[in-house]
Amino acid sequence: MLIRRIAVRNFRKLLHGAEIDELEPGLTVIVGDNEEGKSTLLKALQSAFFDRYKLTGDAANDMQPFGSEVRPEVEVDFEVGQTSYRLKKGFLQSSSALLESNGERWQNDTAEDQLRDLLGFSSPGRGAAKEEHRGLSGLLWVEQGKAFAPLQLNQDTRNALHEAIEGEVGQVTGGERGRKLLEAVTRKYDTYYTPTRREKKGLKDTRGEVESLKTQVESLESEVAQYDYKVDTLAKLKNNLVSYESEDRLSQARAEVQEAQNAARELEAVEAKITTAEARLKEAKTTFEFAQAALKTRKDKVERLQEVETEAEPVSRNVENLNEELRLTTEARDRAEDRLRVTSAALENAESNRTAAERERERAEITVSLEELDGRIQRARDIQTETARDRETAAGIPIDEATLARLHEKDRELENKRAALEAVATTLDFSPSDDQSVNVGGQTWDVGKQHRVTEKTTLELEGFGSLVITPGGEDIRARRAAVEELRRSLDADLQRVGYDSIEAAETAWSGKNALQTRIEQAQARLDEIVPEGLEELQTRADDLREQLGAVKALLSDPISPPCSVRKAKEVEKATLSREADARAEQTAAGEQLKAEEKNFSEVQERRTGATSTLAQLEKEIKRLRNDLDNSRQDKADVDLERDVAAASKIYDTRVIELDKLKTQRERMSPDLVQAELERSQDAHEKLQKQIANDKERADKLEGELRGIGQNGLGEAAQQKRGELEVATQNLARLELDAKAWAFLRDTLQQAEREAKEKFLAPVTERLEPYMKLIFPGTDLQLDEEKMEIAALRRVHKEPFASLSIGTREQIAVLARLALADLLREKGRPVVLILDDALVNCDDERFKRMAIALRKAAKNVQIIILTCHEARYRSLGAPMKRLMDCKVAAA
Amino acid sequence: MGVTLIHTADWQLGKQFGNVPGDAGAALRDQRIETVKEIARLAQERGADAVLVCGDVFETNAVADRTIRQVLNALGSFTGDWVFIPGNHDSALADSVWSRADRIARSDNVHFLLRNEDPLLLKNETLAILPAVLQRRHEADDLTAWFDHAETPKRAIRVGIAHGSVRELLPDSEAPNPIAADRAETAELDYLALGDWHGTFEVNDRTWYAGTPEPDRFKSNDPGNVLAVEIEQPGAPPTVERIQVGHYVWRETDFSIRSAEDIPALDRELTALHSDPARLLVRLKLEGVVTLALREQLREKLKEWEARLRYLEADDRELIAEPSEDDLDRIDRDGFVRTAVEQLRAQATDPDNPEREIAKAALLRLYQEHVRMEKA
Repeated sequence: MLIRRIAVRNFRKLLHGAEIDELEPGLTVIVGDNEEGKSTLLKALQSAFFDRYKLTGDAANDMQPFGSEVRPEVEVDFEVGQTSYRLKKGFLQSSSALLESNGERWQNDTAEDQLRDLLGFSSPGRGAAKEEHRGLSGLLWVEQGKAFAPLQLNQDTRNALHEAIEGEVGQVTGGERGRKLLEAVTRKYDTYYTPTRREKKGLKDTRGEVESLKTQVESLESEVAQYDYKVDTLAKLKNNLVSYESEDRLSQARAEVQEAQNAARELEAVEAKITTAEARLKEAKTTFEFAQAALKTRKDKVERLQEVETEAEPVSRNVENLNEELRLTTEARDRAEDRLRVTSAALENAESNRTAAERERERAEITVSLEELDGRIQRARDIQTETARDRETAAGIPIDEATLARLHEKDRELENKRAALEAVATTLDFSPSDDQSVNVGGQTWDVGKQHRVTEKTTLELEGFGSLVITPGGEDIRARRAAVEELRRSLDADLQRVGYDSIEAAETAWSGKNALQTRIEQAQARLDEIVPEGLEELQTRADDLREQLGAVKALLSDPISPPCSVRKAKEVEKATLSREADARAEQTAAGEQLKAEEKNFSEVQERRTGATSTLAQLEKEIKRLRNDLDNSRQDKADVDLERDVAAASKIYDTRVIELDKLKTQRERMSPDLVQAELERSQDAHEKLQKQIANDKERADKLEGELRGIGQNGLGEAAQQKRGELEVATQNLARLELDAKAWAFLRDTLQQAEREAKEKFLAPVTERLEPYMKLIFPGTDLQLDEEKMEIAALRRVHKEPFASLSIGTREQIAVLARLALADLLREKGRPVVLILDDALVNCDDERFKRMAIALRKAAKNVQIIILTCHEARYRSLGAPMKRLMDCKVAAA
Repeated sequence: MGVTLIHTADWQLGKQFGNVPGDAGAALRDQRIETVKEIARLAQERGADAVLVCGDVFETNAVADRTIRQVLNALGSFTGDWVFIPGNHDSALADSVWSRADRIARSDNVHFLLRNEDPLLLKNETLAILPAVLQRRHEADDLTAWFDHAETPKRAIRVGIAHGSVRELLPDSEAPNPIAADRAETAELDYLALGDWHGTFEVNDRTWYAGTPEPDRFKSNDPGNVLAVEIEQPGAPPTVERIQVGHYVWRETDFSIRSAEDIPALDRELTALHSDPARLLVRLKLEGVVTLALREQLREKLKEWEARLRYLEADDRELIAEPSEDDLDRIDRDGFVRTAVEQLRAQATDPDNPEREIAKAALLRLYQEHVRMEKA
């Protein structure tokens, strides 16, 4: 379809009319400012094509320009296929419709019918045409501000699309019948399964029934088996009983017991004989043993006596020897005692000599020491006397060091004061022309030297007369007074110590010092002679004198003068040597005595022991001899030997007797006899029990079996087996049915899903190049049912409604381009009109959308209404300004 | 001097038919007693001297006392002698249905022969019955061997009665309890009445299996009869007459189906089986390759017959439903349903697909559902 020209008059904003002609295939931009009437142009086109010319009411009135009552008119030239048409419509006043083509004319209703057939849309009936009545234009003519809304296909468009798609991919959806079939199948499926394919009650119950029947059959079969087993057991029991009876087994067993008992009794008799024989044998043995014992006792006694006598003999000899030895040792001991006595007396004498020599030596030594001590004491006493004299002299000199120092101090001060006085004195130098003299106070001064006058002095000058000199004034007087005072003080001090000058004091001090030095030297000498002190020395001398007295008192000859120390020591040494010799002699004598005494006691002890042993042995011999004599009086040795021989013979006879009996018993096999007895008794007893048991069990079983049998167990088992068979088949049938329906449903659903995907392929295919241009790497998902945009998959799936307005707007435009492509290809009359549909684009996006629009415009006419002239210039499309198209109302 | 005997066996009373669900099973169960009554009535009508029942009177030794009493009651209308021996199902064990039956009061003309080598003399000792009694379920030895040297009165007709198998003659018989095929000859029997084989079968002119009087399985070996045996005198050849007494007819039929024309043929075949479909039990083995449409038709037909017959067991395991292009087109020509149909068909025909059977069943159901929707 191609719109060639649009002429509008008395229509809303376009009161004075506008005519846009020479519209070309492809892209056209119509520019108009806001309120200038570009949207009115779209409204006028919609009214021309889709509103009934007879439209009245508000919808019709809205077509009129505000505040005027005129006849809105629209005229459109367009082409469908190769045919050109002109459509004229006037509304409200003398409303009319006219369609012309190739000389043909359709008027009013006929014109509108013709138009509907031509473009394929539904009649609105009453009222204004809404989107659902505008056929494909409802989708492809986008009003201002609605571009971002969902597509909302009207039925006509949907049919057209379905036709278009099915024309391409065939009838893949199966239509209403397919859906119903799937529903019906799903209902069947639902009778067996829950939506999550768990089995529902019907299937479960049947399965349960089979299981229950299986259990019942198993239980019944087990009962039958038990029944059969019991029947078999009963048969065996009965057979046993019959065979016992027919073979007379019980009597046989009894006879065997009898026989075994007889054998046992015989054996018992032999056993009794053996017991008796054993007793007799034992008795004979005892007798024999007694006789043997008596004989042995007698022999032992004889032997014992001989033994003791033999033992006593050497003991007796030994006692004699020891007596002799003891006599010899007694003599030796006595001799040793004598020797000790002699040596001891010699030692005593030597000791006494040595003590006397020691005393002599002590007296000599003490005497020497005492002499030396007394000498030192005398010298010390002399020094002490001299020193006492010097001390006395020194104490008579009154000066001391401090006083002398004070005097010197005062003297120096006096000198200083005098010097100060002389400093202010008048110096007199005489130069006599001749040898004239100068006299002062009667003394002649040496005129050859200088003189200093410090006080009023009257000089008598020879040849001249007198001259009074008064030096200084007041100052010199004070100085002089000080000098005088000091001199007086010094003199007073001197006087106090008894000297008239300092020099005298000093001389006295020197004398005192010399005395002091002598005292000290004497003291040093004293320390040298008696370092321990005189008193100590005196004490020692006294002690020595006392010792000497004591020593003298012990001497035999205290009167004669002592000899020298050396001599005394020599004497002492000689006595010591003699004493040592005597001591050695005495010690040797002691040792010998000890040895002799020890020897004596040993011998004595040995002799006592031997004597005692001999006494005991002799006593024992006596006792043994008595005992033996007594025994022999009872029974002679020869009688005892005869007894033994007799007992031995009897014993041998008894042994042979017993052996015979035992052999007899062995021949009877006592083990076998006993075993056989036990066996036959057991066998008999058990057989009896077995028969009684079998009878009891058989009776019991018969009772039981009668009970089981009459309940019809066999019939019941067979019945249940049959039921199980039927139920199993039934279950298999149901399971197959259920699986088949599930399988069928799955297959149908899968096929439907695939069909739907396939169905959209033509749209997706045409959409893809546009999407790639604007939204590369994304995937636009369409809803197959509604043919609507469902979602955009970028990173995640985003529902259309949640996308930004700009994105929605752009996607909706692209979808329209794709659908327009598809519909045009299928021969549908298609024109795309966009009234400011891309207001939410940034420049980059707009540029790409422009490319998309230009691409689509190669096949489809696209008319863009906009107020953004500058922006749409970039499209490079023919542009018409609405203001240039306005014409005066004709 | 001659005797008339009714020879029967294998009554299998107490058999449950639990695998035949519902009323049919109960009817089969009850009918067995009715057939015994019919035998009594027949014997009376024929003036028989004795009815020989050759074992397996009861299905099992553990039948209910009620079943025993039902049997004893059913014997009433025949006043001659009833002679019973145990079979392998009701062998005379230490405790058996017989020991219980023995304790229930019965009239003097009812004889339970439970011991071997103990002949029963009837009709003033002119009829000697030699029993081979199974005292165990299975015997390795031929229990009729003693017949060879059994002493009977000179003028008596010697009749053996046994339960077991003449192995060399019966097809597929490896059963225990052997019986020598020439026993009648070696034991100089006038007649040897046998039980165990459920079909009527002549071993030789003096030896017969009577078969079960009321069929109980799908095995076409001529069941449902009793034998009327007449023997003029000792040594004379017996006259044996086969008399049908069975009520229900069990039939196993194989049927091939290929096209819609075969449906009426099936009707004809089933109709021809018996005049009274209520007495008919049928095991129908179907075989062939059918379209889904034909399969659906067949299903309807079988439902019809199921209602008409006493019991119908249709075995369609060998029937292959192969959807035709028409079938598939009928479901849907295009759209996803058609896609699903193609997938199902591919899976159903792939011999390596483990879910082949399920796919097949699913396809059939899709077709049925489609038919149902079209009808609605």
